[in-house]
Amino acid sequence: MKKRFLWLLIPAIVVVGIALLWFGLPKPPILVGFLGTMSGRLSDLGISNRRGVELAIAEINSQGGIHGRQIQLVSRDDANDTQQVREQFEELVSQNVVAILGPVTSTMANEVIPLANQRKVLVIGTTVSSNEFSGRDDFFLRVSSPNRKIVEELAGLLVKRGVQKVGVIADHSNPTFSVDWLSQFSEYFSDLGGTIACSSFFFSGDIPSLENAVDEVMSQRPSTVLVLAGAIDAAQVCQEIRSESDAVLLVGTGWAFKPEFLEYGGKTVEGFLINGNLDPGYSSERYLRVSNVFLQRYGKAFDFGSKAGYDAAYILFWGMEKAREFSAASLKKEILEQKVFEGVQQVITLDSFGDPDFPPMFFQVQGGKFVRVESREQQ
Amino acid sequence: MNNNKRTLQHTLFRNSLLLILIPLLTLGFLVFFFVRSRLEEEMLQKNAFLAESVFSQVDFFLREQESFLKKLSTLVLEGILETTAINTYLQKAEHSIEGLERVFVLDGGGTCVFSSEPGAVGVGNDFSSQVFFRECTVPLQINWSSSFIPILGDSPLVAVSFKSASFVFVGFVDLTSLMQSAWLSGRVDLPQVSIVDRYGVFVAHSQPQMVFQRQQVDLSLLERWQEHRNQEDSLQASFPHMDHLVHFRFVPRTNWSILIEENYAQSMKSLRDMQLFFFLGLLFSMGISFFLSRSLSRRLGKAMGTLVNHARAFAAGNFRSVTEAFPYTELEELVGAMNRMAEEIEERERNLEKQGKTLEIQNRELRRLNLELQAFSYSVSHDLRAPLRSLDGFSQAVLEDYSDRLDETGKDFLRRIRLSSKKMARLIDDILQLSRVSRKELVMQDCDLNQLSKHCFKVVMEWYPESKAEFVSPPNPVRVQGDYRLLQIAMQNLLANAVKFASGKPDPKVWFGEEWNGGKREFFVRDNGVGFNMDFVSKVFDPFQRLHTEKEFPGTGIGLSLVKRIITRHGGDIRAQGEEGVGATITFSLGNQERR
Repeated sequence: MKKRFLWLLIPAIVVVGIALLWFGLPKPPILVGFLGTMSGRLSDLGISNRRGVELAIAEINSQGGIHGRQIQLVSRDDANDTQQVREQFEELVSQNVVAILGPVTSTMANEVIPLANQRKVLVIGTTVSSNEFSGRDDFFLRVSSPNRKIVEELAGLLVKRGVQKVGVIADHSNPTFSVDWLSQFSEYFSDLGGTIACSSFFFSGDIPSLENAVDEVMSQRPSTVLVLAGAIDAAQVCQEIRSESDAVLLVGTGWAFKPEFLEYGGKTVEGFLINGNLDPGYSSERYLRVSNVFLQRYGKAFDFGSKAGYDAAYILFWGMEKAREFSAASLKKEILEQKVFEGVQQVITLDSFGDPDFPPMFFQVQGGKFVRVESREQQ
Repeated sequence: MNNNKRTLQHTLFRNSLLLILIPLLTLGFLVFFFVRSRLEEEMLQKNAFLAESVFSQVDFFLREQESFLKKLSTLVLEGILETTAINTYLQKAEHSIEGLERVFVLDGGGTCVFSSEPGAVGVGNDFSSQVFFRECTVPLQINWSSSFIPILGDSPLVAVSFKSASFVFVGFVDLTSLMQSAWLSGRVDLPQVSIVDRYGVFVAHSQPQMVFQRQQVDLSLLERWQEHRNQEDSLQASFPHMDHLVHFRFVPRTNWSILIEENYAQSMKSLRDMQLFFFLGLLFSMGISFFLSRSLSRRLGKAMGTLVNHARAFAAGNFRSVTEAFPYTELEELVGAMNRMAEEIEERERNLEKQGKTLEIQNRELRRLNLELQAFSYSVSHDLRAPLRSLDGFSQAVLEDYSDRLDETGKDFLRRIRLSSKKMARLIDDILQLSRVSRKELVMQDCDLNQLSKHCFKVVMEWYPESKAEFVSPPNPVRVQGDYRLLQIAMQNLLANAVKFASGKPDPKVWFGEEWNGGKREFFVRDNGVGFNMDFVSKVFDPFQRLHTEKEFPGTGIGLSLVKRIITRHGGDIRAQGEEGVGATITFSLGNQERR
């Protein structure tokens, strides 16, 4: 009798133990990847993107996560290097992340998209805006509008202000963006009667090449200089130009639409005309709450990079909530079927290829702030 | 054999295991808790010491930068340095001060007027919106910024700024140098040291990419530290977080915090190793105890088997001495005791045999004497009856044939002779009956004592035709096991006595019944006759003893002796109780009788 009892007791203990372990252990977190430029001179954009993602993850985790599982971010730095971005992509895939948020620049996206299609991993670009990636049925979705409409409207805005000749200083470390942007602009601007008087490229981080590019363009004494660069480089260009001339009209792209641009540029960026994806004067309750939490958490303003990261994360969470499995195809299908998402500032409507289409916004730096100006369409 | 009983091996194993396990486990747990508490204490002390050391290094590093800026301000403002020499001085200083990467002097509007950069690059730049200028508003107060990418560089650094008169003196401090000076190794076996700014962003870390990517520490950890600081207003604290033990040390100069993160599991590795060795030792001890108990039980079992065989031989009467050698002193002593016991039993058996033989001879002699006595008493009784019959017969013949020749006295004498001879004949009959009762073998059978008493009462009433005694008995049968013939004799005697002694009463009554006395089944015969004085109760059952005169109540005095013998032969008891003029009760039992 005793032996029989013992033989029953041992399996019972084992079963109860396994059950306790199984039900007692917390469910493993869901890994979400982030790939962005987080070191070097262009790191401000990658870091603000990552922080937007971090904030969204903190919010969703505090609400219980997704399907009862917490989200864990695995972030990787591509250092704006085409070789490193491929390695870091593979690294994230090897960690079985369900999807990757990022990259943050078009040149990096150009490297990642073929890999994403090949490895069948969903990639949601945050601040990638090159027209090159539009109209493709692939595993790349994004939350930033392609540049076409912005470029077209900016060209119109400049012509309307009487600008006929433009000198261009562009960062060649993100050529997919800058070359594409410049060629589009050249096309629209020419159509409206304008001309590109001169253009010069530099490489971010290479201060002499930036100085040379400025010197080269300024030697042509243009009345307007278009700066295709990130926030710090654009600010440095402005510092350089303003040391020579106060009269030149400076124009830039959304890439530089960051608080760092104002901070590093100081008075030299006053009057700078720029397009942007975030209206600092927006006053919805959600935006104010999110931007306030962000400021408290990081001591930095919630910028367009943070907004893109935040919105991209929520679109992915929505797909994860709905999808039966976390495969790229399943997530993509659910997201594209939903199409319309409530972003932190705008309604994000994705087309069938996963590209949004926002009306462009233009700002001018006045008193150390971005002040919104009306675009041609709004007029 | 009871199979549920434990075996010797099992008991030995269990006991040896308990003997090993209990002290080992007790000691093990005590040591474990003691060592763990010591390790934790040491860890706390070590981390506090490490934090203090890192703090000293960092503080020295920061103070050096601050001192330089103050010295620079003095040199510039007091005109010790000529304006044309300032840029050159700054370039030299940049190389001589560890960690100082760039130095700028800004005017009151935030425009760079002097620069340590070759070729005075940066001079003319507007830094008015940069945090190191904006936050440096209080004169003669050192201000440290958060980490940022400088406009002329691509690695994050921090800026130290100092406002004096209308100038702001700014130094850019390289975080890599800070990390080197703060002894931030990347060794996994050492606690991880890092430094965070007030937002939890790393300004120094053993993994430099954490600084370059401006990663942030777990904010819940930072919140705990800030709450602690708010409550305690202390500069350092230790607490567990996740699987780490974290020690914070505040750096007031910069609002930074030094973090020492010790991996708890890693630090307790030695303890885990000790636990492993302990449990391996425990397993080894269990194995040893199993094999020892097995070996011991085998040796003991073999010795015990030999002893059991000898004990069985003893039981069978074979008292051969145990001569084998046994492995343990105690067993040797047991064998010695067994041998002595065997010798004593053998000696006693011999004595018993001798005594038995003597007893048998005595018994035979007794049986022979008894038989002779019985034969003698029978023949005496029988032989006595013949002359008695002759005496009675011839007395009767004389009375009948010679009555005319005898006077009344002679006739009276002859009648007395006849009465005496009849009385003697009855006495001889009773003695013969007593003798037969003693010798007769019991034939036990199922008897109804109630029915028997009624039958006997009828017989007795024939003996005493003038008696008007009433008999009261229970309505139900009284079933007993006994010899019917002997019980009949006993009941007749008891009832005859009762009828006889109640005959003088106007309403004589005789009762028979049964009762339970303290769990014992007893039977009684009671009368309401003359009774007796309880002072003489001890003589009631003695033969030939009489409590009344022959004249009052004729009899031989054998009856109750006869009853007592019958009851005794049935294994029962008998007792009498009486009161003069009230009556008497004879109560008896018949051994172990259950109600039937």
